[in-house]
Parts: sequence; C-alpha cells; structure tokens
Amino acid sequence: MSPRVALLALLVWLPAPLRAQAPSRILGRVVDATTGAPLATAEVRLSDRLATTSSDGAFVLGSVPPGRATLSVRRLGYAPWSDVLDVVPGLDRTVTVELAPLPLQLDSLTVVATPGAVSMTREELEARGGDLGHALDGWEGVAVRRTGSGGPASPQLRGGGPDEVLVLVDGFAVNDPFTGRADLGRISSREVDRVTLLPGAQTVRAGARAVAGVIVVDTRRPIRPDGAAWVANHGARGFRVGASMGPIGVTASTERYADRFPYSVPEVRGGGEGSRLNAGGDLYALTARLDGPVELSLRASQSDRGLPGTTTNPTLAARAHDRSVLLGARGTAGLRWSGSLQWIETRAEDTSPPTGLPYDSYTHGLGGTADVGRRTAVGVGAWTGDGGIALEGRADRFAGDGVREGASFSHAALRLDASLHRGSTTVWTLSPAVRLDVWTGQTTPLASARLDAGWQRGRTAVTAAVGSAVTPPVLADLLFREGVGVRLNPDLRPERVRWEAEAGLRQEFDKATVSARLFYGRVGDMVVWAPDFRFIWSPRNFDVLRRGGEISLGYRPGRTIRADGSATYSAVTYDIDAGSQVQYRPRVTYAIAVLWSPEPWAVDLRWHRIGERFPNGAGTNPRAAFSLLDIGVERRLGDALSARVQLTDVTDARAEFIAGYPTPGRTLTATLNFRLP
Amino acid sequence: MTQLRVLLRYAVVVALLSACADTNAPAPEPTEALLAVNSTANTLSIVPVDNPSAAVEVQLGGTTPTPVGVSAFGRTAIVPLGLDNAVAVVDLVDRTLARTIPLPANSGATGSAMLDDSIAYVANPNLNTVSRVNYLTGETTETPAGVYPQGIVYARGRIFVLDGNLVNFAPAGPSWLTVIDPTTNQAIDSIALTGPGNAGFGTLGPDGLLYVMNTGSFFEGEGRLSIVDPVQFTELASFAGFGRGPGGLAADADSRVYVSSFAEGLMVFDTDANQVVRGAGNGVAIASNSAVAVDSKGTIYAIESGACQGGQPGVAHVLDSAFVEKAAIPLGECPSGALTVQIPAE
Repeated sequence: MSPRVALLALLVWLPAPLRAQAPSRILGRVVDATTGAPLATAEVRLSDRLATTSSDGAFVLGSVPPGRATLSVRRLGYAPWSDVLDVVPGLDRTVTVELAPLPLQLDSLTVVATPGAVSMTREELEARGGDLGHALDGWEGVAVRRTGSGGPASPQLRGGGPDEVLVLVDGFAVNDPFTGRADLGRISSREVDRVTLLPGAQTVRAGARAVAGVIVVDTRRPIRPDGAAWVANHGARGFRVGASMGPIGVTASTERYADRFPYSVPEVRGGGEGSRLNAGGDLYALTARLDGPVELSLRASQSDRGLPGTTTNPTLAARAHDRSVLLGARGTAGLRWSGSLQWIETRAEDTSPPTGLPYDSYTHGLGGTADVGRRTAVGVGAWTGDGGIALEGRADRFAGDGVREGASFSHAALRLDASLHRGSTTVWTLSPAVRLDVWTGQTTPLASARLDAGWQRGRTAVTAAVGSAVTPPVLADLLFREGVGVRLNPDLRPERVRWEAEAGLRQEFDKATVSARLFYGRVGDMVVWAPDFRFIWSPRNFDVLRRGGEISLGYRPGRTIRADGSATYSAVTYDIDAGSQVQYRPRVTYAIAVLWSPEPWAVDLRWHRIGERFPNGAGTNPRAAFSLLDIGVERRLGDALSARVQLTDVTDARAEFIAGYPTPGRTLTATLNFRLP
Repeated sequence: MTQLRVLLRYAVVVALLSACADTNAPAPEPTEALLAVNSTANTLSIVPVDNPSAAVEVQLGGTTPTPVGVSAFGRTAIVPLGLDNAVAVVDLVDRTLARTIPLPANSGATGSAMLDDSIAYVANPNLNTVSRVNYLTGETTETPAGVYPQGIVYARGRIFVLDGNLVNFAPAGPSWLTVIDPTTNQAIDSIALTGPGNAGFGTLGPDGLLYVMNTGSFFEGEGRLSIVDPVQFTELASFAGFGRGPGGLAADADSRVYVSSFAEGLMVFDTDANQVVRGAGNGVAIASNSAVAVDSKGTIYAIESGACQGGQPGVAHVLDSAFVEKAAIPLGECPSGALTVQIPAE
C-alpha cells in the first residue's frame, strides 16, 4: 500500500467524531423578496460569526462548526429573517435568503439604508429596561430631556432641541404635531424589536423635524403574549400587556407617575429637603397593528398629570389633560404609499396659579399626512442599487384657546433619492438625495440635498456625508395665541442647516467594536425661544455653528458579559464672536453600560453623565453637570416569568436637566415580566 | 546738653506732626462705577467709569431668575431676582455675590431702593407688598403697598412705592405712589398719578422733585411723565410725548431728566423749563435703549440691550451732554437696568 492510498483509507475510515471537526462553510445570497434584486450591506449572523453581503448580495461564513445553528439576516428597510440550519460536517451549505421589504417610513417618505446608521437590538433594549426614554438616554449621543416625573422624555441629538429629532414608530412619526416633540417615555422597551439612529441633518430623506437626527423604532412582530407589572416608590406603578392574534398585534398599558417625591429645595426657598407635590398623574395607552398587504397602525393615549411648576414657584392646582390618536396605513401595491391621521387635544388649567389669573385652556387639532412614491432598481456601470421618487403632503388644523384664529398649516415636498453599491470584498456605497419643500407662507420651494458615502472592507467601515436640511418652525411656534409674557414673531423663518459634513469610522475586532464620528456644520435661523429685555418671550431665529464628535466602544469578552461606553462632544454656539452655547444643550455626555447575564441571572449597570447646561444664551450661571447610576438585577423564573429589581439614580442625584424641574431621585422599582412561549 | 535738649524737642515735635499727618491723611478716593443688570445673562456688570477695561460681570445664580433692576449704596448693590423670589446682594468691592436673601413665595421681586448701609426696600409686585430687607442679616419684613408695586424711589426720608396697577400684567388704570415712612415701616399716604398706569421707573430730579414714568401699554404711545412733590405728596404735573414704551429714568445735576425708550431712543425732559426737549420722534438714536444712567461728571450712559440672546453683549453708549458718543462699553447680555455709584475704596 502506497502512502497515498494509506492516507486515503485513513480519511475514509476515520471515526465520525474526528471527521466532524472538519470546517464547513455557508454560502449564500440575499435578495429582495419582491423584486429579486440583490441586497448589499445586509448583516448575516450565525452564532458569533458575522458577514456582510457584497453588492451582488453574496456572503460567505467560514469555519462553521457542525450542528444546528440559527442563521439570521437583517438589513435596514427589510423585515429581519432567521432560520435554523443543519450544518453538515465538512460540506458547504448554500442558501438564498429573500428579505421582505419593510419600508421605513420617515415622516411620510421612504428611507433607504444610510451608511451612518447605528442600531440597538431587542436584547440590549430589554437589558436597559423601562421605557425608551431610559433605554436610549446616553446611547450614541442621545440626551433625553425630562421635566419631572410625568413630563415628556424628549430626545436631543448633536446639540439640537427636543423638536429637532424625528421619532418614527413602525414608520409613522410620533412627534407631537403641535410642539414637534416626541415622548420616548410612552414606548416600552419590551415592545421594541430594534432602534436605529440616523444622526445629523436628515430632513432630505426623513422630512420635517429631522434637523439633528432620526430615531427609527421597529416594534416586535409577531408579539408573543407578554406583559409586565411594576411598582416603585414615590407612588409610581404600571402594567403592560401585549399579544398577537394572527396578523393583529395589540398592546395596552397604564402607568401612574411618581408623586410626592423628595427634592432639594432651592436656597432661596429655605433650602433643605421638601416634597415635590402635584407631580403625579396617570397614563393609559393602546397600540394596535394589522399586518398584511395594507398595514394598519393605531397608537392612542390619554394622560392626566400635574404641572407642579418650578421649584421656586410651585403650584398645587395646575393640571394637564392630553389625548392623542394616531391612525396610519401603508402599503406597497405597485406604488409605495402611506397616510396617517392624528388627533390631539390638550387641556391645561390652574385655578390658583402662582402669578397671573386662573386659566383653563383647551386646544385640539387634527393633522393628516399622505405620501406616495415608487422605487426601482437602478444601475450605473458597476454600481447597482435602487432609486426612488416620492411626493408627500401634510395638513394640520388647530382650534381652541391655545392657538390663534385660523390656525392651519400645510406642507408639501418632492424627494428623489438613490442607494448604490459596488464591489464584493470591498463594498462602496453611495446614497444621494435631493428634496424640495413648500408650505404655508413659504411658497418659494426650498431645496436641500444630502450625499452619504460608505466604504467597507472586512470589519472596517468608513462613512462620510455632506448635506443640507430645512424644516418649518413647529406649529407651536407659529400658531400659538399671544398672552401674558409671550408674543408671536411674524418674521419667524424656517430653520435651515446650510451645510453639514460628517465622517465616521467603525472597526470591529473579535471582541470589541469601536466607532467614531465627527461633524461640523452651520445651522441658519435655528428657532430658539428667547426673552426680550422685559422678559416677554418669543420664538426667534439665530444662526448657530455646531460641531463635535461621538465615540463609542463595545466590548464582548464573553457570551455572558458585555460593556458599552460612549462619549460625545457637541459645541452648538451662536454664530457671533465669542458666541456661547445654546441654552440647555449639554456640550458633553458620557455613558457606560455593563451587562452580565449568567443564566438565569442578569445584572446591568448603567452610568450616565450629562455635562453642564446653560439656562440662558449668555453662557452664564451654568447648571451643574450631573451623573446618574442605575443598577438592575433580573432573574428568570422558568420559561415564562422573570423578576427584575432596579435601583435608579443610586446616588440620589435628583437631576434637573431644566432648572427648577427635578426628577425623582433614588427610585427602587420591582418588575414582574411574563412572556409566553 | 542744651543742644541735646533742643534736638530732643525737635524730635518730639516732628514725631507729633508725623502722627498728626498720619491721622488726618485723606481717605482714598472712591471709584465711580456704572452698574448694569444684564437680564437674560443674569449678571451684574460693574464698570469703573474711568477705566472701563477693568469691568467685570458678577453672576447672580438662582434657578429661574428674571432680574431687571439694580440699586446700590456704598460698596453694596442689590438686584431683585424676579421669578426667583429673592434678592441678590453684590459686594462691589470684592466684586462677588455676597448672599441671596429669600423673599416671600411668589414675590416676583422687581424694583428696589437702598436707604443706608444695611436697609433696602424691595417691591413684590405679585403680592402687592414691599419687603424691608436688612441685607446684612437677611431679615425681611413685609408691608402692604398698592397694586403691582414694581419700582421704589427713596427721597426726603420717605419710601415712594411705584404701584403699577397691572392686572394679569396689563395696565388696569392709572398708577399711584404709596408713601412709606421707613422709621415705622408703615404706609403714611398715597399719591394719585395721571396717565395710563404701569408706573415702574422713577428718579429724584435735580430740583428735588420726584419724576415717575407711567409707561402704560408697551404697544401704545401713551407714556406720561409725572412730577411729584415728595414733601407735599402731590402730583404737580404730568407730561406726554414719550411715544411707545418709555422706561428707565436718570437725572443729572443740572436740569435734565433722561428717559430711555426701546422704541424712541434716548429722550430728554428739561426740569427748569418743564418741557420735553427731546421727545418721541426726536430721541437720540440709541438702538433698543433699555436704560440710562448719569455719572457725577454729567456723562450719560445710554444702554443698548442688544438682541438679548446668544451672548451678544449689550452696550453702554457714553455720551457727553451734547449727545456726542465718546465711547461704547460692552456689557453683558441684555442690560436692562443701570445706575452709577461711588464705591468706597477697600
């Protein structure tokens, strides 16, 4: 027997366990389920192996151990896909993955994947606990502005205001149509499948309000019957339940806000510790969704909460009653279309205000959006991808005590965009977009444009973008009724990002990921409420320079432990000599999150620091920076139950993002979660 | 020996003379300074009038302050903090915030006047009271005043409270003065004023009379200047012709009362001739003129508030008596109240 024959015989007759050590590969291709077009930059994951599809949609996962494993694929704009594969020892496995389009409707337009997007998945969201206001605070530069226990938790990005971040849930904007602010506190982390952040000037693709960024929230589908009940000190408690029945998914929740929590009394009011009164309230929320060729979405809420006033001028009788209903529909029958109706009403009253006369103000309004567009595959030389054109419209009408007569507003826009890719091992991405806007009082179309570019090779990705943005002032700035201390500004102009450039780098290692982004731009006519010398307030336009950067680090030393940290710097200064930081825009933020999950336990620790903020535009009398430390411990109790105990604000910092509006300090929350298999 | 005695006598005499010379050395010259309260910046600018480059800004702290006025005596200035319901006490020598004195809840403190080296009065417009404040100890005592008191002038040993008569922040009728005897802290009289109400600014004129501006609505050209006899407690005259939004007053040592106006610029009333010599439409062109002050040499400081945002500085336009601008001094953001004071040396 020659040596070669002997070797062949040895291989053939090797014991099975030894043969099973031979590596396998999974080769595949990811395509659009409706058009069959290849999908580049899709993320393919199998256990701890990760690959990204090339411009022809192909991917390869090498050195795959044999056995059963879950292959998952996801890409922005498509429903996540996963399947269990049997990996045969030593053999390649070929799969074709068809991703169902799940257009992300930004305001009323479709957005394609952009190179600078970052995401957080359901596992991490659940570990962060609570609502999205808590879960996203500190993540990738998101700073959540709170004013007490029940007030809106509005995100801020890159030094923008709370009305400059667009928040989309399942494709529909949830920003209040009047104030422009979104309330992340009304979205439970456990109902969310994924959050995607597109920082920077994004109005070209996303529409109004997206001056500082867009937060895209995809809720879970289908919803396994699940729910949670929690109770905390200071009187807070809540309950949430959700389930799917076929194509229908429903969640309902109720919450009581913290009331009578301790706070630090200002020195001028005697100092020491007091009890914050009239801070509580109730929230009832319902969401429903019908999946199908035409997707229907409903979000409704009602709240009744106290308005405790500032710590220097507290009031015991001020209340706010709010109701809102958002009904949306969208489909992709030939054309991509979507539409929504949103009804809001609010009543604010105070029978014995600290200053002025008693008031009882009722305002209500109805808004509607409609858009229609078409996307098609396009190719230019070696570049392939898709492009789209869309028309969008919006109309709002308000009435009541809080708005002036004839308070209506309409807005229309035309958008063209494309997303192109080339290369296989080295993938280039190019996403140009242009937009024209007209609205009530602005009949000359305003043009804006943005170009995103990306380069990816292996685990290294570089992104760059340059663009402009434009958005009308929020309706609360345009339509409010003049009163004591407030005056309309008939000359108020739209806010424009004249230009902004940004660049980013993302590097993945075996156990770590590092990303950094830098941005620099000029914002013209930023709308900021400011007083005159008599302290009569009006919305005013200011030119602003904004620049800064964000750096993030993720570390995964093992399956049961992960750590993430981020630091951001956002200098947003008035564009004059020695211009100071715009008020209440923290220049620096830091965040660290550590999750340790040795089954059946999970322990998470989060530390978040918000830098000093200025209560005025003069850069004087800064409000001190504050740090918040949260610790949570969760234990699984069988397949369906888990119990969680969370200590929020461990150091009892009693943060005041806005002067005079403290949040509850150290809070202990006990939560019982269930999720049926 | 005789010579020694003579020398000793001379030595004693020289020593005594030297001692006398030390004892009688002239006190150091006080520093005259312009004080301007920068409203939206919540700071107090201290500007030595002979050396403006040595100006400083003192941060006044607080939570939600809305300061619009300042008063001073010696080395101390006080700034009512509006919605913070407190008064800031500033040491003008150390150039620091010395303390913050709480006032009654919901006071909305605005106007103030200082009597001496320990006592000041502060108007509480939301409470229709004034607070007698010992700014050394922090003690306060309340005294009823008229409706919406928002300014105070101290003259002839009496406290004159400018009752704006605003209801829900709008003029509800003519204003009046409440006269308080500071020795008893009791109201002893009231003086009716002619005009549209919203009296908020006053000053003691060179003729010993009290000049009070009744601003009225900021959006109507109805402001009137009242002349009040601080001894007889009567209004002597009332003059119109100040256009929209007349505000802060200052008097020189000669015969002028200056009137600042956001809309009209700097206007002038002649106290000898009892007439408006530069009124609406003829004011000195000072953009967004929010206040005015005059120093001991008669130099005028016309305050331009500026945009009141973005850290854009306000400006003190330094004018001579012919209204020729000699200099422009940068202040803090949104200066809206000003005066000059002699600050004693340390």
